[in-house]
Amino acid sequence: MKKILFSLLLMLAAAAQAEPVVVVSANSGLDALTQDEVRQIFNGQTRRVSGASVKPLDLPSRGRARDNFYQQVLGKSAEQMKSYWARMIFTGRGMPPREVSSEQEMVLLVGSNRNFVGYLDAALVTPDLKVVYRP
Amino acid sequence: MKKVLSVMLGTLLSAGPVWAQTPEGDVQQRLRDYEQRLEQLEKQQFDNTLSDAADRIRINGFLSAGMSRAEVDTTSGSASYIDGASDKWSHDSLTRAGVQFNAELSDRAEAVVQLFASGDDEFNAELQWAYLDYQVSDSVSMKAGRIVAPFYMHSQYIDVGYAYPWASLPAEVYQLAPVKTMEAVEASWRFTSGPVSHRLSGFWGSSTVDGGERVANAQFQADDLSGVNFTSYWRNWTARAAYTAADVSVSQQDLQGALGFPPAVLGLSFDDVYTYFAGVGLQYDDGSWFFSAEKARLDFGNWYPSSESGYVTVGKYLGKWMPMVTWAEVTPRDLDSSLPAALNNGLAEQQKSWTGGLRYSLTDSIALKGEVSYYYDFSDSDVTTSGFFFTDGGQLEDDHATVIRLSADLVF
Repeated sequence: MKKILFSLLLMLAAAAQAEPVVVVSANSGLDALTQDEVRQIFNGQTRRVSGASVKPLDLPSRGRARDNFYQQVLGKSAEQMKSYWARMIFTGRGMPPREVSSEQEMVLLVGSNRNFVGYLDAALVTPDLKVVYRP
Repeated sequence: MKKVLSVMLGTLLSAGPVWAQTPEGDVQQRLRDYEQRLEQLEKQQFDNTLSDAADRIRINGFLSAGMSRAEVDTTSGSASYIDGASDKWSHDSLTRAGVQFNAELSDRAEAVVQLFASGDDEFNAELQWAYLDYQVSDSVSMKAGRIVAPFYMHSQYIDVGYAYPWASLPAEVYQLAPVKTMEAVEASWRFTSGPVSHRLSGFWGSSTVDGGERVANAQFQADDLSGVNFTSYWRNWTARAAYTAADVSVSQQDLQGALGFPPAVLGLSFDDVYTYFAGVGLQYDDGSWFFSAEKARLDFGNWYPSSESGYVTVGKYLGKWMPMVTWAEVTPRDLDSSLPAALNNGLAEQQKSWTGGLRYSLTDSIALKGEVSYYYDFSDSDVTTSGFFFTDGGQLEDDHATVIRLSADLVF
């Protein structure tokens, strides 16, 4: 019995870890985003959603949470995103999202500015944040 | 172990008289205060980093180191391909590097300068991009200065090898109009309609274009160079349509170089000729399959041969590897049959090709690529050409040739 419980817990923990959610500040006017909107925001194709100005933030590169997010929501690997941004940067069509230094910084920044849109492990969401998309 | 812990705890407790003597509620209150102050400090720090000077200037660069070789039989002398590949391994033609500085001038204005040098041009650094970007609103931006012309889908980042999976973009489309930079103003508008996002841009400017070796480096002066291009993105699909027009002139002297005889003999001239470039493209990339196809037309409104070209590429991502295959073609259109056949043969573009390529990602910012291209059908019933191969006087022995390319592309 103990064993089963333990493995269930492990599975739950793994599931929680593998699930990045998209967050905005609790004061943001946004309540929910569609997958297409999330893609457009993180591809730099739009800066405005439902009349609200949005600025995406990225977790540090080479991190598992970031790779998970791009794989699950945009279907792209880190290399594929890098190649995409090379196309944007060197043609003046856009810059990749600002990169925060840690998940704590993501929580603080998104919580403090209603324009920021970030993503996080669901377990790290605080009352300052509002989940607007779950993959 | 437990003992050690309790000893340590004991020492800690006895070393902290303040903690020991203050009532518990007080300590908690203090802790809360400290936490609040810490959080405030952290926030301030983050706010500062966001507006930091280091953040206002961003530096990005790209580099490609490549080599290529052409297998082509000639009756005499040697031949080289339009991208520089010749019968000996050459390292110059595919080797190039660039550094770009983006300086934020204000919330809305940005200055962008890109220095570029290539082996093709003996590594003389030149300004490829130098423009001021002004963000009129969240969806509209204006650029003014020196920018790379956006004729075809991948034109604007043709030098950034890392940005695309080919070692070299299909010459049939991308070498057709060797226009690169222009001095122009461009306005672009981004908008979305449901799940589809769009980018519409228009520009107006001028440029001088070097026609390349095949036309003895004749200078094509393009005035009133103006165009619109419209790109739509939906999930993994990108569709693009572009139309660019210009009034093109070539001096009689340069024309003589290109033709090999004084143009006046045939009463030919090239003044303010309405010329257009039109292209449509479709791309699909779901991270597992890659597909890209384009069709393009370069049309001179006079006796100069026009061309139509296109390519189709399919690639498959297999972990770090990506094999791909490309078919491409360029054919002449609207040949002026009243002109001598030799003239049309010399200026018309006719070629087909199959290219097999393999890309390997060494790291998330370095890609290694290898490519073999087989070029054929330089001649048909209308024209006899040497495709995009240039000979130093001799003739091609066969109606086909092969080029091998290897490159390492990176961004930083």
